[in-house]
Amino acid sequence: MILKRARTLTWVSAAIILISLGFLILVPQLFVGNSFLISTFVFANIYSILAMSWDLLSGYTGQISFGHSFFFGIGAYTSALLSMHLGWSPLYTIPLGGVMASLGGLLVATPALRLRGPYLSLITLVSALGIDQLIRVLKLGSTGAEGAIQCEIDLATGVNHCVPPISANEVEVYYFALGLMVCIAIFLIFLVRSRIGLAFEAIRDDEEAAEAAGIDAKKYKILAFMISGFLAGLAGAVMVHKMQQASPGLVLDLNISIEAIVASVLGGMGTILGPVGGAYFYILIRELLRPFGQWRLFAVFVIALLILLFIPRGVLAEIRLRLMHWIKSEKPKEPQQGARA
Amino acid sequence: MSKAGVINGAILQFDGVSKSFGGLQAINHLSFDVREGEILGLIGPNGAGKTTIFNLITGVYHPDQGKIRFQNTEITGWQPHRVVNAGIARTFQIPRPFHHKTITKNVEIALIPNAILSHGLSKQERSDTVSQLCAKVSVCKIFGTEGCHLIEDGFCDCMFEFPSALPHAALRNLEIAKAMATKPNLLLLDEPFAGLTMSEVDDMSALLRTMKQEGRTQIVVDHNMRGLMRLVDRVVVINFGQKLAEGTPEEIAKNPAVQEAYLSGSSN
Amino acid sequence: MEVIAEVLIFGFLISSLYALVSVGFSMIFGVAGVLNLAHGAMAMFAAYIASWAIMTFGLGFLPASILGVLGVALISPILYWVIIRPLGEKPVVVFLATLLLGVIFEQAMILAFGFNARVLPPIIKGGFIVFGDIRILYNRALAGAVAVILIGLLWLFITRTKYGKAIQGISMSTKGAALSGIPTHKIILLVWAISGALAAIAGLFSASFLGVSPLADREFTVIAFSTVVLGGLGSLPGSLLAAFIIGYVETITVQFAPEARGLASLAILIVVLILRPQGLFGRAHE
Repeated sequence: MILKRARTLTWVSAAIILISLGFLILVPQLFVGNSFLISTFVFANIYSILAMSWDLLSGYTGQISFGHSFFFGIGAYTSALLSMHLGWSPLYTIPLGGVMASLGGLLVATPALRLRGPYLSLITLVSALGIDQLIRVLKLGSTGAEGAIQCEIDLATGVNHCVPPISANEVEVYYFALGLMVCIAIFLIFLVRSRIGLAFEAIRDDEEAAEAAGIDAKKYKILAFMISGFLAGLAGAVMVHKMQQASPGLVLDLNISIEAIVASVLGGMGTILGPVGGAYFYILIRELLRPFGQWRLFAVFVIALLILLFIPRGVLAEIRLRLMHWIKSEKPKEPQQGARA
Repeated sequence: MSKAGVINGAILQFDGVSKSFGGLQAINHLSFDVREGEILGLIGPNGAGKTTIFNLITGVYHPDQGKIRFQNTEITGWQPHRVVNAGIARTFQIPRPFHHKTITKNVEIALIPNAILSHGLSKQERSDTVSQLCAKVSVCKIFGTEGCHLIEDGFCDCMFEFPSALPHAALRNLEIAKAMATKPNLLLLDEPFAGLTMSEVDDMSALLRTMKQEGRTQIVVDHNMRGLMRLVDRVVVINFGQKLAEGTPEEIAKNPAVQEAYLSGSSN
Repeated sequence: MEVIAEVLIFGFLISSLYALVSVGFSMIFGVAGVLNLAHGAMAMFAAYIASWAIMTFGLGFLPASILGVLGVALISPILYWVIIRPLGEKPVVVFLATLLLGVIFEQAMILAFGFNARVLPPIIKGGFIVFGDIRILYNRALAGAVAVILIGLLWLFITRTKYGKAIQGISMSTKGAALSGIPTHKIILLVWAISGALAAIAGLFSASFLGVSPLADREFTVIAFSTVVLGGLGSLPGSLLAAFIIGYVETITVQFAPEARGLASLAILIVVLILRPQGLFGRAHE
């Protein structure tokens, strides 16, 4: 009985995921020529990657990051500078952006290893604020003011140098972003179901007990920081080629970190796919409801707060839990929240 | 399970260890040995430093002075996970399950290797080990067929049940299953009888004896003197971070210094 | 010589405002175990209330400010009562909830007052205190004096009064305090009110020097968070010391390397946390 229901459930969720994916694949066909809408979906994919990356580090491993813009910005600047000044294709510089952000993750993880809870969150926040300042001060490789990378006109030849786009064709850009998002989602779903993901969750629930179970918490935390950094860096790099410019305000703003958190909270921390849903929800509201002005963001943040208040596990995790109880055919019982939950 | 190179049958040597917190001398130049294959009782009034000893052995605290040797390897100053992987596992005074993971996963966590790219056990081996351990500590008995189900004798699967569904005694058993999953040669049990009824104490003692027969050396800290004295082979009595007495349960029961400490100290 | 005097004086003035913000943040952490990321929003909110009262009713700065402080002293405990407390003992959820509260306040201010910054009129117009070549606006000097007096009063309140001792008790152990008959819940509400009021005063003065904008709360929150962690969570003297460290470091960098203004204090924070993860006055883990 239990296994039969579990199997049914697997099929149903697989079907839902495939239908959603089918819709996303058809987006360019459904909205031919609507470049605003297609752009919006590109942003939704970028934010999905960012939110999943936050979820891996914070939702799964319990290392609450307030500074995901740090990784996002490193990825963006690395890819922008390499592609613009060395003329490399974005297809190479985007992964390099991820690698740099991953090294950034290592850099943050090193002090972060000794820190827990709020101390750690502060370090992530400070790193993000610090690199924002640093890029403004150094005016990193830029023509624009305050570290912004804008189009440069080569006076000798009159050629306009910009951060190159991934492709001149918008639909290709969309499929690139969607493909990347789907690959990352698949990778992360396998990762969190592997013993590595299990170690991450053990560390989140109770680090000391995880050590007592023989888990090298430091090593796994570094790994979480590096993978999360890599993915957020990829997201930032894709973003910079989509916008074809970079500035601290565009790719390093604290808002980016907040948006990653909001997307994860909306969909459900510690679920990987929840943050994807949350990111789509957030971006679609942010972009499509522009006529409502600031009300739309106000409403989204209030919804996120209400979710924290009434469904603290997040929408997707709550559904999953209820289904699990359904599988067992029992009335839902609250799993006891640990002190560190 | 006798390991080559263990001198005098001592699996663990606690050698002149001191530890202070701020101005408080929690452990003061303490030495004792744990012999291969025995169950050693560690007793003493509240605040005598028993849990601190466990934290020193497992690397949660590092000694200010002295050495700790396990199977003739010095483990002083090692990180907790390294100590665990060397073959020392512990249970906590208050059970600390991973609340958000199922019972099966709770045990599986203790099987995770630290080499990130190595495979460790295969999926099948892992799930067999987990369900054997769950059966061994009798987690299945509590649930009947729901959530946890007995696959066959000696195998029990709890992939749909969370630790919050377990009564207190079973949480202690789950702690032991987690500890056993790390394949320890030495098991540190911090108050395994706390909060258990008489019959549960008997069940727990039986489980610990079985593990002793399998060759797992144990150190047991407990306040339940009656349960403890029937279980252990030898006793070390700690008071104010120092060794007060050492010997068989019978010798300890007769020792005037011990009686003095217990009568003047806590009411146990 | 003058440069040194200038740094000493202006550093003191800015630090004392930072201290006002941090002390409240620290107290809330002490009694409620909450790192209130909406703390900066309280400072900003007070400035907007005052600005609104001035524009709408033509109140003077002083009555408008009192209104701002009272408003925040009222709303801050309400936020705790309605939103934070029901979340219970889930630090991560609470942490994120306060973050969301902060951004919700930002959006609300944008909706109500628009994106543009507003400047509050100074409480004492014009006029300088003159020390040699250094001139300090009366308003700035007043801010410093008020901050110092308030912190002094707070100190007396905490160490000398029944309520203050209750606050200390709760900071040490909420359960213990409750068992010894302290009305824990009421005291926690009182602390939220006091902390909100202190932040509000800092926010009002800051708005009269630099103006206030809907995202101004972030700087306050970052300062409060940084100083309290730098000082060691749960240590009021630590928070005060850290507020002065950060205030002086900023003043010195502004004086000698204005470009690196934001960087220096961040760098100090990182270095301290690496060398002393529990902060300057924090208790070690072991």
